[in-house]
Amino acid sequence: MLDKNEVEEILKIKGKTRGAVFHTDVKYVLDKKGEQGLDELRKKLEALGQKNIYGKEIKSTGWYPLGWRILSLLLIEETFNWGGKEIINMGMSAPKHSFIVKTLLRYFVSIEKTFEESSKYWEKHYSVGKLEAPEIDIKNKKLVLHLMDFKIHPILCAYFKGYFKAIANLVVKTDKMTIKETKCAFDKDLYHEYVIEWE
Amino acid sequence: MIKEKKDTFISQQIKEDLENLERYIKELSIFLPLPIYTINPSGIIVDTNKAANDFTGYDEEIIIGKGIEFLFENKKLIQKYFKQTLKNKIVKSREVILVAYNKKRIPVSISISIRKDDKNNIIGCFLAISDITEIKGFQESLEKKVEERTNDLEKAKIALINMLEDAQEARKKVEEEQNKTRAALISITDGLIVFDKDKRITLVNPDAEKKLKIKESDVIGKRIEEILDFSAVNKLYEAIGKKIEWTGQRYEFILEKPVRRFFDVLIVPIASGEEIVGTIIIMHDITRDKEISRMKTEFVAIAAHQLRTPLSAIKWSLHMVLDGDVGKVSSEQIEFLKKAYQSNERMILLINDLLNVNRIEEGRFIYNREVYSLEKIIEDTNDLLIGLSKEKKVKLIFKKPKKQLPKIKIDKEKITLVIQNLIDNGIRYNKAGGKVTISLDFDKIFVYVIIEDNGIGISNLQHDRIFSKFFRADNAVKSDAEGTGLGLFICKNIIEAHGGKINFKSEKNKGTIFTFSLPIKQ
Repeated sequence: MLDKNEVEEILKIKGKTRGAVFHTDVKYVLDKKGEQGLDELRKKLEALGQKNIYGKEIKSTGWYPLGWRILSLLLIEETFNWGGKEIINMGMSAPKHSFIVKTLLRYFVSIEKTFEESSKYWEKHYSVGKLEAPEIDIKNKKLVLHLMDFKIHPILCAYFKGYFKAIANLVVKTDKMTIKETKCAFDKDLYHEYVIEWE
Repeated sequence: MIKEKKDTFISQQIKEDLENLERYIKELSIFLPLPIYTINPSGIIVDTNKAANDFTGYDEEIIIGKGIEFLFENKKLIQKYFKQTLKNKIVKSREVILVAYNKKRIPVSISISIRKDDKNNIIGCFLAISDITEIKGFQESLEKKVEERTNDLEKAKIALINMLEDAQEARKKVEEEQNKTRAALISITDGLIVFDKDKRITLVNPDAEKKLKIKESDVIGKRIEEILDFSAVNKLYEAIGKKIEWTGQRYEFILEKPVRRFFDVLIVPIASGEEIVGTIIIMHDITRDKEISRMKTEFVAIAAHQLRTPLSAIKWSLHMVLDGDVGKVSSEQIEFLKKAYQSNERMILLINDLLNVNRIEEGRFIYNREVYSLEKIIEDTNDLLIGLSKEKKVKLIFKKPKKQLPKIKIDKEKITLVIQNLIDNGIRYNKAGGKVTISLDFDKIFVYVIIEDNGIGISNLQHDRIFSKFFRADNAVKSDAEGTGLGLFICKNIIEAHGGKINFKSEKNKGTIFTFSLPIKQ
């Protein structure tokens, strides 16, 4: 169970993220747990002496502490006793509701175009780290993403699995798509590597 | 430091602009009533608005990432429209069926328009959806109504065709019947002219063409008044009283050229049910009948004349023998001679009757009219027949009129013959103890002579033949063998020649009343 000390440690994480991520969290929680679930989160935040990151004052285009992003995910995971699968689903859901994603739809023309612009895409969301697509193999229906300089918290590994898959799904018309984190910065790798494959 | 402040200020401005833009887009998306999907060039739905979510029941969570065809029933058709859009930039108002989240099939009209970036690259499409359920419903209801109406019309058409076929069949039958009728009419040897309801000529058979010297084609469709230039038609028209009307009367029509010919003309109606639909003039050639009749009459006249002289000689010879002028005859001889005398008398009567009939038929029954008293004639006749009445034991009663009879002109001899005939019949065909009552009456137009007996009467079955030549009722023949059967024929002709009428009422075994009238003004 998160305590104030842990939260303080989390809030020490450097970097910023767009407010849109909190909006997509709210949307997901509302869909799954309703207003009551959201209230529960708010109360916990309050109990931890934290600002309401699920309020209207959080703007999609605003930049907020990256620690809040981790806090939100951990709080949700703990409150609703969700496992990694649910965090992946949260990640999958996020691009569908994100205003930032909507502003980037112009890049969602094809998988090449989308992921060629992945660094730009990343920069629109996070002030730290770097996203690259070293391999876009249309013929073999394979995409490799590298998330570098982004050793923030393992919960994001699951979240991004869902998130990147959802982005790929916006440009690849398929019912069968898989994503694997083949390398992880928390496993002594230098970066996170995600391999997306489809049929 | 100043530059840093300036950058922070710009960054803040951009942030505010973005926030305003986001708010605006959200508000617009919520407000916009038209369901809109944003599709990327791969045909994948990448965004949606609230109206689209509400309309289809699919929220972003489900629908984003799905192919455009996911929403529609006919997936190939949608893909085709999508390709057309990428090629032609826009596709407008295509009707398709959308399958909603609740599986409901909704008729919609879709329009797809491409999106381009600032470098004119296609970056996707907007797909707008309009619910046309009501329009479709209305259209379907209209189509249903049109279909129903079409079916009704089709049925009506079939019924009409059937009716037409029936009508054609009926017309064909009518034509066949008309042809048959025409053929029959044409083949008739009497002359026929057929008129329709408007008295226009519809048929002239060959016999009529020949007799009237006309051609059917020249007169068809015309009224008889329009073809009086044909002299024979004109004569016919005059013969029938200048009108084509059914009166039941027969007319005599004579054509002088090339040889004198006589026609019996009859106008008869053509009836269809109770409706009179036309008229036919029938001209029956009676020239031969006339000639035969004339020859017969001539023969009878010659024979009668030739017979009357020897019969008169026989009468007077027998009279002289019976009177004893030529010597005594025995009583037995007298009996035979009387029978011979009576037979001779009957022969003379018959000859006289035949001569009268002959004169009537020849139109030579010349009337010598003078004012004469009918009472006197009756009294004289009664005097003449008193012997017979006593012999038959029949009482003769003359009821004289209480008022003075108007004076009338009559042929005394012929009227005497009539009264004598009728009273004689009343006595002869009576029973012993019977009576014959003669009375007179008059009104403003006629004087009436009524002769009533309570004799054997005439059977109803023979009433219509009573004035025919040589006719004698069955019971009359049994009662008296002496009659010639010419008396009533002569009576009728005499009365009618005077402009009067004769009729009777009779009941078998109860008696007969003969009444004849004679006009006061002549």
